[in-house]
Amino acid sequence: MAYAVSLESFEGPLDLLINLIHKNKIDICDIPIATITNQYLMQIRTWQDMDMDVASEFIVMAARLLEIKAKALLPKNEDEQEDSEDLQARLVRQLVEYKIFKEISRYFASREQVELGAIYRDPEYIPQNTEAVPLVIDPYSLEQCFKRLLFQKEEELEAIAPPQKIIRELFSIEEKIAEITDILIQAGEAGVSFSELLHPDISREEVVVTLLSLLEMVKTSGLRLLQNRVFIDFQIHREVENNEQ
Amino acid sequence: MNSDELAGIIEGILFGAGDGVSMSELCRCLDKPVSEVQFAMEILRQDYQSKARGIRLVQIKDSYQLSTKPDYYGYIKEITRHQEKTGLSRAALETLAIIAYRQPVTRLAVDELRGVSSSSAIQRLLDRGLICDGGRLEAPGRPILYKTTNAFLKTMGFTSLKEIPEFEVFSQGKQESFDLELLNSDSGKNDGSSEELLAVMLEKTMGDARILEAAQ
Repeated sequence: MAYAVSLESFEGPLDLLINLIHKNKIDICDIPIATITNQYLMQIRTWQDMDMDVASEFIVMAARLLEIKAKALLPKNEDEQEDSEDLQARLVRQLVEYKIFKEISRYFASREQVELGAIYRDPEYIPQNTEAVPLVIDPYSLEQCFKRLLFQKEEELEAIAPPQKIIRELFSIEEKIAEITDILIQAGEAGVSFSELLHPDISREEVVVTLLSLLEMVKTSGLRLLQNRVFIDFQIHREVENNEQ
Repeated sequence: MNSDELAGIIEGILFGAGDGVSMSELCRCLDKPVSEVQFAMEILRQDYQSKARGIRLVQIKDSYQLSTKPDYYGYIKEITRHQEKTGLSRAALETLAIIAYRQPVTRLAVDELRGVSSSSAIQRLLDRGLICDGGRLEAPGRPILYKTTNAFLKTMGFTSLKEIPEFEVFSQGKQESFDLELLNSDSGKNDGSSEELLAVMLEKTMGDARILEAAQ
């Protein structure tokens, strides 16, 4: 299966709109609403085509854009509380403000990047005369302290835990069902016993998948399982005789 | 006790404390008036500004602390083997920017400005101690008002909230000249190639001197 990866990510609908406005090299205060709405909807459709969940905020904005576009096309109604210009002006205000904060967040990021390079030393632990030190503890700092401890513990555990191997699933129920169906067709009326489906060096995983496949087949494709008493092998028959006759 | 000596003692106190030490605590420990301690602090600050020093004086509001110089981080991390520190996510930075300029502010107001839900970003900022509960808004539901903390100032390298550029700097398109200013100061810091060379040479000669001393 091929995956399409979009490298652009947006923090929200406003972020996407600003990106579109920037791409089209248009003034934020003079948005051609039809063009931008179309491009916005196209972007959302692309995401949906890629099987991505589109956050509800994006859909809400799509509705707002369409409302502005629709109202702009209709003749002005005096009674209307907000006409398309008001709606658009409100959106523009929001965009302008968001853009400023985006700018500030970039400025913060650059400052943070510098400060990440500063190392502070923790106070050395020296047993103190605790009687002389008044303990000032508020619930919030206690919580912070506790979280820090938990975090440290987690990091320690991660450090000692051996790397986990992720094992690929070797057997799928679909494949197993096809396999069992073939075996049953070959066996004909005699059917097969469950133990016959299990080859000598079978893995536990394959046994489980085989059993699950059988259960699935009983449910969907008419399979008869016969067992004389509990805890012994059982016989598997296809119930297709009637159809074939 | 002259001012130089006082500066030395302050340096010792700050190194020993590790944590930030407030001006009033320093005055109490040193039994000196604020003016004298401040003067000594200024000597210390000037001294640290030299490229020959790997430590800097960090001031957050009324509290003083020592840290290594960010410019030298590239070398320091070689020895400390710190896990690479990661910065805040874009969502967290946007949220923090809004809280910093609109504080005290409710989550709802942040959501509205960003056009998306900010609850997880706010939780991360709370966890990192960059924002805190700053009271309640007297409105239905009494929502929490968030404000920035001293840890925020430290993270961003500000001495106080007053040092944060005014909102107008960003809103009136002045940020270009502002960015330029930032860039210039950055390049000023980073033209260290000759400085580095000097440092290496200095280290070498010092090493030679030590060997000579040992030989004698």
